Amino acid sequence: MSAIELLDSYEKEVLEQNYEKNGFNHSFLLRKKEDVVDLAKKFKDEGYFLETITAVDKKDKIRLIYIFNKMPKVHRTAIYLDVNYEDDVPSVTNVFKSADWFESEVYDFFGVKFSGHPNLKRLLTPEGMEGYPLLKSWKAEED
Amino acid sequence: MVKEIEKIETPYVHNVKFAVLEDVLNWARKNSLWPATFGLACCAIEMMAAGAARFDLDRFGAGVFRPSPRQADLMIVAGTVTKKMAPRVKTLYEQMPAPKYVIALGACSISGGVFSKNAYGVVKGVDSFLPVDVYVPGCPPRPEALIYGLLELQKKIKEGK
Repeated sequence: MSAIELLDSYEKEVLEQNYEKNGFNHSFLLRKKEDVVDLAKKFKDEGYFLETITAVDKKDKIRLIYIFNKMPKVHRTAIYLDVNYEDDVPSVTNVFKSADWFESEVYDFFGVKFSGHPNLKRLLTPEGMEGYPLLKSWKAEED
Repeated sequence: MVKEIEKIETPYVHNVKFAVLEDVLNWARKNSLWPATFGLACCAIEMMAAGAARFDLDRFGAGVFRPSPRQADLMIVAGTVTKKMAPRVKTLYEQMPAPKYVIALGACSISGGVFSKNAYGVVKGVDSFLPVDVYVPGCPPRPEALIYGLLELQKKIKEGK
């Protein structure tokens, strides 16, 4: 089953499908954040694995990017998800174990909180750091 | 029997030299600097090159990279020190037995280098928490630069500074 069929029952926007241009065979913008766990399950059943979870600060919202892939023939699919700064996003750790550190990293750098995550804490930034360094609003202290 | 011993010892009598103990110790220290195997970033590659056959730090007695700080007396801070790494670097330094020396290798360990502006996780200069003896600039410095830095450190040790 292709990624397009997997996304049939969800509210979505189909974005550019051009592997040569952006490295993704498919990319979609998911409308509802509640759908993401269900969708991850479907991807897992189809034999996809979770390559990474990352994020972009769009200044009025945060765009989460879930990247799934399948072997041996590369079939990379990006699921975009727009969330507000203070939103709780459902965690996909119950589906993909590897999401644990990806979500911790997103929390570390963007402050997105994942509900249902087993151990959400700062992963890479120094102990006792304040703020989230990859947000556009973050300012480095000058010394 | 007594005569034989005199015979053996006679040549050594001419070889006795008198010196200040501290000078002899410094001479020994400068010619057997054992660096800690401690690379943090790309400067470590240059440090490895300096230790390997082509540049050969062993010529100066400093090629014995020790895997434990307890056996080392020179710390070459080779690379970017992040804020998370800094306490560990300090611990490693404190674990080294005195007398101990520090070389700051490369722009990052001197001042933060390319990360000195708007970076969230980089210490701007290891001299903020370590007593640095020699600074070797470069990004990364060539092995020759590290060797020159080492020779400068040896001069410093010889003078007892």
